Amino acid sequence: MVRLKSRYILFEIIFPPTDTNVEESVSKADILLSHHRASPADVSIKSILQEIRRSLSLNLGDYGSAKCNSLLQLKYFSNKTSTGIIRCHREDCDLVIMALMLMSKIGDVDGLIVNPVKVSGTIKKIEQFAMRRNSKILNIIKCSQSSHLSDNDFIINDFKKIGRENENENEDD
Amino acid sequence: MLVDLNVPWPQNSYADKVTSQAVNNLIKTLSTLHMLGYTHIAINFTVNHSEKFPNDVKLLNPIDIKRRFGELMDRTGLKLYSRITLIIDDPSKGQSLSKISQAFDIVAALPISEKGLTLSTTNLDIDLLTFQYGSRLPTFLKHKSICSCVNRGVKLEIVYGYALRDVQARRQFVSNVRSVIRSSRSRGIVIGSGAMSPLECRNILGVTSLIKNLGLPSDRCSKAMGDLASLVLLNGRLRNKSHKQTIVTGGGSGDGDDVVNDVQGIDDVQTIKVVKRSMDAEQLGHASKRHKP
Amino acid sequence: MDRTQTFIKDCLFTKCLEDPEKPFNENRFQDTLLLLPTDGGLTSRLQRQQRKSKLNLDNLQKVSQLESADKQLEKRDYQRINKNSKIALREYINNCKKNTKKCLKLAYENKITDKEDLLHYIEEKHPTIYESLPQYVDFVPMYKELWINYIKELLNITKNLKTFNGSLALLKLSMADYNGALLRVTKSKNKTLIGLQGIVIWDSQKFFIMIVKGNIIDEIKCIPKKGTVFQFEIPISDDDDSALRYSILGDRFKYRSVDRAGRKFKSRRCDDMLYYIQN
Repeated sequence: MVRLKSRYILFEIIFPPTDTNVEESVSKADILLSHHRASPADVSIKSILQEIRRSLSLNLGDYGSAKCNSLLQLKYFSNKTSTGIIRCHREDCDLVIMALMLMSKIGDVDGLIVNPVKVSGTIKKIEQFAMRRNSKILNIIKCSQSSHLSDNDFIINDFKKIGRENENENEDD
Repeated sequence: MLVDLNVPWPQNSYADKVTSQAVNNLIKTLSTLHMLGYTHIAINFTVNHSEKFPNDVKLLNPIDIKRRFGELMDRTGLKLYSRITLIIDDPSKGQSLSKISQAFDIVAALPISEKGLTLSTTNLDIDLLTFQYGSRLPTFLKHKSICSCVNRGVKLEIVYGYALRDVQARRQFVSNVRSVIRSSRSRGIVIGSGAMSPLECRNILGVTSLIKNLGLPSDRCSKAMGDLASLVLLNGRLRNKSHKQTIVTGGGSGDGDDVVNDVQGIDDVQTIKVVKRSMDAEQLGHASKRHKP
Repeated sequence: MDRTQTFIKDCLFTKCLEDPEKPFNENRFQDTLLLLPTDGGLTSRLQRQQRKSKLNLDNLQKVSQLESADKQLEKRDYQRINKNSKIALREYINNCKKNTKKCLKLAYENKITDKEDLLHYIEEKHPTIYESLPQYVDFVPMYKELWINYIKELLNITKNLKTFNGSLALLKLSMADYNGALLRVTKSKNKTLIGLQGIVIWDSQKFFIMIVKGNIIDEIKCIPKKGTVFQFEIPISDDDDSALRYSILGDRFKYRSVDRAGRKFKSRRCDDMLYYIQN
C-alpha cells in the first residue's frame, strides 16, 4: 500500500503599515519590525481555517474546496509570532497556497498579508527551517538595535518548545 | 535576484500633481516588497501615448529616483529603476519614442486597440508588452504576432495585482492570462505586481502557485520573476548606457558593478562613470590569483 | 528551414556583409556609388604583368628571361603575402606558447621560483628559447605611451569633465582600435578566465590575443570574445587617481577593428547575455 503523502506549509501573517500620513523609517531592521507584529486574539486556529475554506470555495468553487478539504489541517499557530503550519494533501498543495495568497482578511481583522514561506514534506524539517529563519531575522534586528530585543526574544524559545511537543506527538503515532 | 517590474507611480499624466501622501504610500509598498525578498524594483509611470510630452529633458521623468528614494536604496540595498508605460490607442497620434526612452530605464507598451497591438508588436522599440488585465483584451491574440514579438526580444508581462482586487477583475484576469500564455506558447513571460498599496504585495511562492495553476510551467514561473525580468532590465539599461550593446559605461568587476546593478554610480546626464584607478600595467595578470570562487 | 546555417552566418557573412541576418540588402541598389579603398594599383599591376608573362608571338624569344621574372612575380602576389602574414602570426603565437611551456618545465626541473633567475638561467643555457620568449615589459610602452595617448586624443579628454559628451564617447569607443589596450576579464561564461588582465597585441575577429604578466613567466593568451566581458580604464589625468571606466561586451564585438570602423551596430535581443548580470 502506498503511504498517504502530505505537504506542510509554513506561513506567516504580515501586517504592513498602511497609514500614509506617517513617514516611515527605512532601515532594514525597522522594516522587519514594522511588518512582524503579534496578531490580535481574533485570529485563532479556528478563524484561520474558516477563512481558508471560505477563500477556497470563493476562488475554486465547490470542486476545488472539497478536493482540498480532505486533509486540510492547521497544525500550529502562534499569535505572538503570527506564524503557523498547515498540513494538506500533496496534490492540492498549490491550490492551498493560492488560496492563502488570495486572502485579504481573517475574520474581522483587515489589512494583512498571508505570506506562504516554505513547503516541505515533513513537519520536522519545517520546524527546523522556521527556527533558523527566526534566528536570522532576530540577528538582523539585533545588529542594528538592542532595545527592541525584549519583544522578539520569545520567538526562538516558542519554536523550540513547539518542536519538542511535536516530536512527542510523532512518537505516539 | 528577484525582480518586480511594475509598481505604479501615483501620476497618470504629466499634468497631475504628486502628493507627499502618495509618495509615502509608495515607499511603504517598496519596503513591504523588500521584506518579501525583492531586490530590483521598477517604478512604473503610465501615460497616454497621444499626450504631449514636455520639451524640457529634465521634466520628462517625474519620478526622480535619486532624490526621493536615495535614502531607501542606501539603507536597504534595494535597486530602483524607472519605467514608462505608454497606453497606445490610435497609432497615428503617437509620437517618437527616441526622446522618451532616454529618460527612462524601461519602456513598455499597453495597447488598448487592435491597431495599437499591431503597432507595438511590429515596429515600436520597446522592452515590454503589457495588457490591462482587469478588462477585456483589445483583440484575440494570435500566435504569430505575439511569438514574433517575443523572438525580437520583447517580453510579455503578467500583472497579478488585478487578481487581488474584486471578483470581476479576478475573473477577467484569469481568462486574459490564459490567453497570453497560450498565444506566447509560454515563452518570454515576466510577472510584475502592480501593487497600489502594501496589501497587494505577494511573495514568490504565492505568485508561482497562482500562475502555475493558470497554466505556466513552474520552472518558467520562477524564471519569469528572476532571469527573464532581469533581462528586461539589462535590455533597457543597455539602450541608454551603451552604444548599441557594444561598449558599456561602468565595469563588471565584483558585485554590483555591472550596468544593471550599478544604479547610482553611473552619471545619468553624461553617461560616464568616474572611478579610482584600479588597473595598472604593473599588476600581475593571473586569473587564478584574483578570482574568488 | 529558412534559417541560414550558423557557421555561414558567423564566419562568412559577418566578414563581408553589413547585416549578417539579411544577406541581400535592398537599399544597396539605391545607394550612391561607393568608393572603395584601393591597394595602390597593386592588383592591376599584377594583372598587367601576368598578361605580359603569357606566351605569345611577341615575347616568345624572351622565354629564357621570363623564368627569372617568374620568381619575382611570386613574391609580389598580394593574396599570398596576406596569407603569409596570417601564417606568421599563427606561428609566432604557437612558438611563444611552446617556449613558455618549455620554460615552465625548465623552471620546475631546476626548482627556480623567481622570474629574474629563470630569465638569466634561460639566457645562459638556452639562447634560442630566450630569443623567442615574449616579454611583457616590451609591450608596456605600447599601452602607456601609445594607446593611452591615442584614446585620450580620440575622446578629447581634458581635466574638466563638465563638457564631456558621454554618448559621443561611447560611439567613438565602439570604433576605436584596441591593439595595445590593457583589458581585464570581469565576467565570463568560463569562470577560470575571470580576473585575467593583459595588454592586447592583436584584435582578431573572435579573439583578443593578449600578453599576460605572470609570476614566473609572461604568457600569450587567446581569449575568446564570445561570452566574455572586458573592462578597461582611461585615466583622466596623470597626477590623480581618477579614471573613466568602460567595458566591452564581447558578444556584440565580434568584428576585426578594420571592419568595425564604419559599421553600424544594431541592438539585438540580449537573452544570451544573462551571465553578465548573474554573479
